[in-house]
Amino acid sequence: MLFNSYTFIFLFVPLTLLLTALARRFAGVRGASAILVAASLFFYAYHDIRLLALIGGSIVINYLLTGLISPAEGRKRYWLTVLGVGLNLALLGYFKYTNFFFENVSAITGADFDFKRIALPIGISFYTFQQVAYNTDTYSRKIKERDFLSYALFVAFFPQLIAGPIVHHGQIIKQFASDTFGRIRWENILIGVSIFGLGLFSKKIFADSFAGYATPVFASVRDPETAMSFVTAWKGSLSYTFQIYFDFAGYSTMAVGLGRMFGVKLPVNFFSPYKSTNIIEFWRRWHITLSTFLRDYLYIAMGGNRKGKARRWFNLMATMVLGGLWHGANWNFVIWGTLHGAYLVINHAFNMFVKKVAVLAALQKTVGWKIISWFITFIAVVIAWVFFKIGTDMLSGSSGSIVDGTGTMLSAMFGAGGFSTFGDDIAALDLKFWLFLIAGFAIALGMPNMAQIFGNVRATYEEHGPSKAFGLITVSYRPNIIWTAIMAIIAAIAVFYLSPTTEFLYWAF
Amino acid sequence: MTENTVDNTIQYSKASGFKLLAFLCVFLIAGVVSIIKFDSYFTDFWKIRKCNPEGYARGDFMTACAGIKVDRYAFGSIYLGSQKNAVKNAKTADVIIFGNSRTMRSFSTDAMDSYFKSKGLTYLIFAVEGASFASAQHTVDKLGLKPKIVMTNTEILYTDVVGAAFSDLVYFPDKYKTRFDFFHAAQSLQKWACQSGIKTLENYYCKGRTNAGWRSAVTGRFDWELVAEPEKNLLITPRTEKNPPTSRLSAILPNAEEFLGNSNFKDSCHVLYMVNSPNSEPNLQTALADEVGALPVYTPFNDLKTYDKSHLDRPESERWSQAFVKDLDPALDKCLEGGGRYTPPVIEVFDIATADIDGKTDFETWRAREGIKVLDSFAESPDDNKTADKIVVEKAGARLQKIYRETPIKAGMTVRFGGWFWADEDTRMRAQIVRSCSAATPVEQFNMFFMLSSEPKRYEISHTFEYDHDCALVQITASPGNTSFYGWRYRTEFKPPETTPELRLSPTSPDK
Repeated sequence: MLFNSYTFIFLFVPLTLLLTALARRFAGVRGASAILVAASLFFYAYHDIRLLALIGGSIVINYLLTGLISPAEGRKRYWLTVLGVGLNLALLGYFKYTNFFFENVSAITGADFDFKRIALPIGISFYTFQQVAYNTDTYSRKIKERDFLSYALFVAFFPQLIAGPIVHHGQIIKQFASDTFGRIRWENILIGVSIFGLGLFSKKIFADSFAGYATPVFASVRDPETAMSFVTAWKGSLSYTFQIYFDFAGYSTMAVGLGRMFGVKLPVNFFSPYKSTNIIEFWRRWHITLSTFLRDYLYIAMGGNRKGKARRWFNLMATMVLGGLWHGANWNFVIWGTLHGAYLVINHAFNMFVKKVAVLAALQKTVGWKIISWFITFIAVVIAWVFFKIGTDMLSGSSGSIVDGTGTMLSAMFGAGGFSTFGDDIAALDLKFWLFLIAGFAIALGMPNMAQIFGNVRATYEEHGPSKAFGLITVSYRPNIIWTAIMAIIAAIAVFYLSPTTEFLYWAF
Repeated sequence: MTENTVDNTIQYSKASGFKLLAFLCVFLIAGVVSIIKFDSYFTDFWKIRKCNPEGYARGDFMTACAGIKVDRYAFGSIYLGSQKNAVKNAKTADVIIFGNSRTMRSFSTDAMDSYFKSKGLTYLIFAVEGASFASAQHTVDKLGLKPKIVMTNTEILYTDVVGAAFSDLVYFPDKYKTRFDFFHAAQSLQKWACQSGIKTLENYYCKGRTNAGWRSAVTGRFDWELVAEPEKNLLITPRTEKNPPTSRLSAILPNAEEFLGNSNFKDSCHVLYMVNSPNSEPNLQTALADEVGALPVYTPFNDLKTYDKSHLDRPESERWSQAFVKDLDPALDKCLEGGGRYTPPVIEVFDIATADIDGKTDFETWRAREGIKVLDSFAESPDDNKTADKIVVEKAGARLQKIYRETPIKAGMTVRFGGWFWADEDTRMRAQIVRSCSAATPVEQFNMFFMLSSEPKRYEISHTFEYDHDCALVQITASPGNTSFYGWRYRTEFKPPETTPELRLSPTSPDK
């Protein structure tokens, strides 16, 4: 079920709220948890009942295994954890990487494998990581209390089940026992629907409009005969840069709003990533819950920065390559991850160099330096998105060649196609595109993000204070009648506007 | 209570219930304004008034209309169940015709309609632009279709890729379902309004003159206004088909087995057909039908005209279907008599205890023509005896021959040659039975191609001779050049005619 479908908005959410509240009133926290688990499983398996067995099996096996890990000691404890993590990764590997593996073995050896293509179950990449974290933390004795219902709800809670945020058990399970959990509190619902409406607006008005500009460019680029102009290439890549931001940030915002309706605070996943002036900062602001997971359970587990510079950079690189591969099983995602890994390594090395040169350290504080840093960071991110977008298209079954497509796009972006048609191409861009592009930059760079706008009402798990738009006016939501009216208008436009594209990009990962 | 949970003790606002009510009120007012101002799901309810409603009277549903853009509705509304009538008819149709864009056009004809009516069979066309069998498979599974007769355009078996048009429906149904349901509801409203007898409603909803695309909810027949292009009278350039189409067959057979072997079709009769086009491969279709137990129907033409060298135009579709139904008729009769059932493949598992290994491995005694040689006792045989021969083909097509002089061929006699063959890499082996030793008799020969894999399998070729000959020749070869394969335990049998054959004299030279 999609967050932007009418079935979800007008039927599923109100009914689930009502049933959860009734259960909470008459059967307490456990009753409310049970209803929410059932509703979440219904949400997950709405279009394919077989998914129920997958997620149900995964939850039960993980819970039983962590039950064995918890009292075990020594090597038994270690090997049970290895088994638990291994099973989760094997499940993810089977569904996500089998096709990729056989395709590559076939390409290398020429062997013809008779295998059926395996469809990727939605959300598996997200809930697998949550459970890996739970297994590992059980091993590290960080889990004090165990309860099956809470565990099942932590994995399956529908606002975050399909496309994140990747919640940590430490952030969420305790909230299922709070006073507000599952109760109908008009204030929470008012704040929740306002946040949800803002997220939907971001998705439908901005992401889908940018998709309308990005998709045709990327659809044509995989044809090796395509002659891509400089302007078209940048139109496509910038449009996708904003599409993915408004899409994913929109989804995460909706998740936060839905959580709030049930009295649960979800972690912030995006914190104005395009404001970053270096790549290290970008990864602290982009898909924060994934970055946090990769840092805590992969980078640090590999030794982090504790084993010298060379090893630290290797760990960083490996983490980003695997992070790239997590997004999808094809080489473009590997390249995307590698590119970001390389960016990070360069960024760290440069920081070390700057610290040693006093002049540079002083310059670093100037506005000019920051503008140049922002520009370099933004362009680096845009270039990496080209690999990412073409990789995503190939996952969804688009024809054409990854290599040809990426090559054509990047060479055009760097002016390989010449500038003879530059004036005509600029003139051919429609006014609506310019307006959206300006709005995209203005919102991404000048406006506070959702966590800041709703900081007053403590919308997210991590609390953030209000912020000023363009450094001038504080934009901070208050549950008063003016804000209520504004948010209702935003929600209404978002709900009733018919956009041509409606799926969320991160559902495919 | 920790600071990171929703704190019940903090109140951000007074009279939240009232404000939520205000939110809902503004939401509704703004919603109405945005519905009117922008395109929305609801916009269909008044935009549809511009569309000419004439198709409802025929039992059709609207697939598109200027100003209302609903991608994939023509087939997606059936797949996702929005067009309930069409779904109901699909579930009860005697015959379902699966196909692609050529099926959409060439089966949407009066000749086809009249034919099925005359047979007393209900039918439904389920065709998708650029379809592969995967879209049909998804539809069969989702709707639980169990027709008596399944007609499959052989072309859709060429690939198993779902295709961009259909894959979105399969993987993102939410993206379309609501949209389809609203368009369907708008159509129901217009249909009801035009039949209501209420003047105001009729004036508002039924005077539209914008041409719409239509599709029959009963038969799935497409309105030609939707699919036709201007007639250009372009002749089809036929494809040159290899005969026999062995390599194509091995590539496509798994798709046919998967689709025709669908458990929903366990009681269905299968007809494989082709709409004439540059993609037509009638020999392939016949070979495929033989393998899976289906009934092939193909109507040869050499003067069919298209509008794009691929799709028949409207008059030609009528002409084609008039001829096609004559060829289809005996096949459907066979279906109704219980024929055309899917024959699952016999999975050969080598078992030394039961395998047919009553043969010899002496290919080194065969006559090797230039470019082929036999290395004796080189390879391991399936029963672990090192007795298999390795046959090395240096020159593509070089033949290894065995002439059976001791057994004269009589008319009606069947010669069967079989043996175990395999290769390290996929290799195409050709086996041939030819009359020999009698230059004066008519040439009779029979070829078969086998795609050898690394798994030893028994392959067999047989030919029933029409004339008397002095002897027969069996020869084998492989391609490409510089390739090799293994041979083990071959056997050549000569089976006399079961009944006394009609006496056929070999032609003799005039001086005899």
